[in-house]
This record gives sequence, structure tokens and C-alpha cells, in this order.
Amino acid sequence: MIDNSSFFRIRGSTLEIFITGLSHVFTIQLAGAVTYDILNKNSDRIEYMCNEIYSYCKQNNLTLSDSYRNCIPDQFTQVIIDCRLENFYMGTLGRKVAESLNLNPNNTKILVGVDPKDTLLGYDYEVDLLADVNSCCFYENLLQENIDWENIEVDRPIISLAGRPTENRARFTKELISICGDRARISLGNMSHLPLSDLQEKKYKQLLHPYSFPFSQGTDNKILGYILEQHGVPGHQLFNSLLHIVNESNDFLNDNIQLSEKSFKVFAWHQIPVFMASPKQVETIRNIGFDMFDDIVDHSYDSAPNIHLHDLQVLNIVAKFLKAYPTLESVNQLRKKLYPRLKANNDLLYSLQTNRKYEPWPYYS
Amino acid sequence: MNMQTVPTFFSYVIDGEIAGVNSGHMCKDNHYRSRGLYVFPNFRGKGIGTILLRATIAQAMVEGAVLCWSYPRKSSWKSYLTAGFELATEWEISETSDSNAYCKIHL
Repeated sequence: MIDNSSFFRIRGSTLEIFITGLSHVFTIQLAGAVTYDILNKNSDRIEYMCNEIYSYCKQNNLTLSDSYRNCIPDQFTQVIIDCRLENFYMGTLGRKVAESLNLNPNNTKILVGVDPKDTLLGYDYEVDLLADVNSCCFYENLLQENIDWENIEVDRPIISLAGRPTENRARFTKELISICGDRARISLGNMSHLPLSDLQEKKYKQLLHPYSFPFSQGTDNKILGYILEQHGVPGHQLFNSLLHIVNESNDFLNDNIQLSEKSFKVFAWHQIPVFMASPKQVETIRNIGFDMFDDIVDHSYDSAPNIHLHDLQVLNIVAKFLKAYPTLESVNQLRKKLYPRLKANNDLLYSLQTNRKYEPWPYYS
Repeated sequence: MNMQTVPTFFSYVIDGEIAGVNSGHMCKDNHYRSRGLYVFPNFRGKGIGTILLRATIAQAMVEGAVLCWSYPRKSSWKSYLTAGFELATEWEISETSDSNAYCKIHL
């Protein structure tokens, strides 16, 4: 159980509140006990977070008022509402918490991991695209394994891992399996902590037919299942692929660019990235400084006119890659040739992880 | 040549009912033909034609095609355009319709 007090920090006259952590605890506490309808009801979630903030302030003698409105005293010249390490919606939740607490927008700063667009008008906010660079310590844990990356042997050239199933992911995965056969490690829908309804299960089985659903080929069970284990170091066989199709949290129909840990794991695992993600995801990551291997991969799918064309362009990259490097020997030769660039991407990731702008939160990092 | 390749047939099924169909087969020069796209009237306007074309293009990739082509009617052009096809000729009168054109997508 995560102690909520670890989601608060006081620095001089600044109070920092990790809203994302509080929101996750709300989910964990209620998951299984209630329906997802209640989990999705923002009013209960906001009330829970405000009560937790009020309790923290009261326990630490920071309270001015008997209600959680105005509970944060004037001694704090700034309150930071940290909504990073989550998707677009968390910024809006943060703003609603700030409003419920009656915080002065002039003294409140909201941190987000995804561009909030116009949802935080009136508040000072900052977008931290690198918030997930070491999400749940996945990168630190990986470094401790002391993996000999240079001498990795590729046994399946392609890798595509997708935990949460969606219709688009199912359609794409089926086409990917058809194109790759056993030359890929592929998974879809192996998420035991997010049980599907019978109707959903039936739908995905139909979409993936004649392949099985949930689908898993060449992967391991370490990345599957319980949510708290999903960022642990996976079985090393996942590193024995080269072209990594990153199934980001947001797909091409969602224009909120989120760089979740998935966008960074591909570089930590010394692999060539292809992104099943929002439009301009590739451009965003390239602008950070990562080598996107444009001489190997045509990333024009990043600005495709629609999701069908986007997905077909990604499939075409895979088909062409398998055609250009038809044997394991040729893929391994390519990896050897590219290794300095794969390493340079990992070096950049290491540098980003060690030079963080904000102090990491416990557990989340 | 067409008779020497194995065609693939696609159907889009909703609750056990066929909503639409298409087929495809390899032709010479590794050109793949998409043929016979049809979506039943009560299922039109849901993007099913595009999904069938998308599956056909993916099959063309599986078979190593360098190009996928078709000869659609103008009335179904939107589905082809969304799936990434481009016109290769002008619209013309054909034996089956008063407005058909060749179209292609390079793979």
C-alpha cells in the first residue's frame, strides 16, 4: 500500500502535491469493490483527493479552515499541483482540485505530461514531456541488470507489445501477425488486472480470428498481468528483437501526444522505434534528440491523413524490413552496424534520466 | 497468370451477418489486384469498405506485392481514397458502370 503522505512535499514556501499518485490510490482502493462507472466519476475522485489534501494539511498543522476549501494557508506562496505521469485528463482533474480547494490561480502552478491545450487557461502550467523517462524506476532497474547490449543476438526481428486491447490495436495486430508469421514477438490483451466483459472478449476474439485472443507469441509472462509488475524488468528475450513497434497509450485518432514509458523503453532496449501513436509523436521524440533511424525507417506515417493509412504505412515498414533483411544473420549484421547509434540513443536517455528538472516522487520516479 | 495464384476472400461480419466482402489476388510483376468490394446497403457509411480494403492491402504485403490496384466505381471512391489509393486514370465508362477508374497504392 502506498502511503499518501509521500505525495506531498514542502520546500520553503512551496507546497507540492502529486495529484497523479492520489488519483491512482483512489483507483487502487476502489478497483474490485465498485464498478468502473464509479471509478470514472470524476466528482468522487476529486472529493477523495481534496479530502486527502485537507487531511495532510490538518495533520501537519497547516490548516486554516475547517473545510477543505481554503485549507492551504497563506504561508505557501506557491502550490504545485503535479499531474504528470498520466494522460491528458489528469491536467483537467488537477485544475478541478485546485478550484475545489479554492486555490488562487496566481499562486498555483500545474505540472502536466501532456499539452493541456486550452484546459488550463488562467493557470500557470508547465508541460514536462520527459516525466516518464524513468517511470516506476523501469530504467534504473534495467541498468542494474548490467546487460551486455552490444552482444544481443536477434532471434525475432520484430516486436510489438500491446497490453490493453482496442479495436484498432486488434486490427493492426492481426495484420502484423499475418505479415510477420513467427518472425515477431507479439502480444495483445494479456492484462489480467483489467478484466474484459464477455461482450468485449467476444469482439476481440472475432477481430483477431483466426488467431487466439489474448494473443502472445515469443513474449514472456513477466510483462503481463498484475499492474504493479508491468514496469519491472521483463524477460531478456524481449531484447532479442530489433524493430520495435511501440503501441503508445494514445493512438493515431488521439492527438494528445503523450510520451509514456513505452516511448522511452524502446531506446533503453537498444531497438529501432516505430510508433503506433498520436500524429507528430515521431517529430516530438526526434526534437528531443533521439536518432529515429530515418535511413532504415520511413516515418512519414507520423503525418498520415487518416488512421488506416497510418497503420498500413507502419505495416509496410515491417514488410519492407523483413524483405530487406530476410535472414537472422542479415538482421544481426544490421544491428551490429547500427549499434553505435543504438547506444547513443541509450546514452541520451541516461542523460535525460539523470538530469531531471523535478525531483522524482517515491515509487513513481 | 491470375489462375496460378491463390486468391484471398475477405468478409466483414457483424453479429454473424456478412456486412461486406472483398477479394484479392496476385497478378504479374508482383502487382496485387483488389476486386469485388461490396458493402450491403444497410451497413454503408460505417467505414467497412475501407477496413476491407485495408485488409486486402495487408494481404498484398504478406504476399510480397510491390503495388495493389483496383478498378472501382466512382460511387465507392471515398473508401479507396481513405485506404490510400490514388487514381491512375481518368474516370471512364465501363461494361459494369458509367464511371470507373484504375487506382493503385504503392507498397
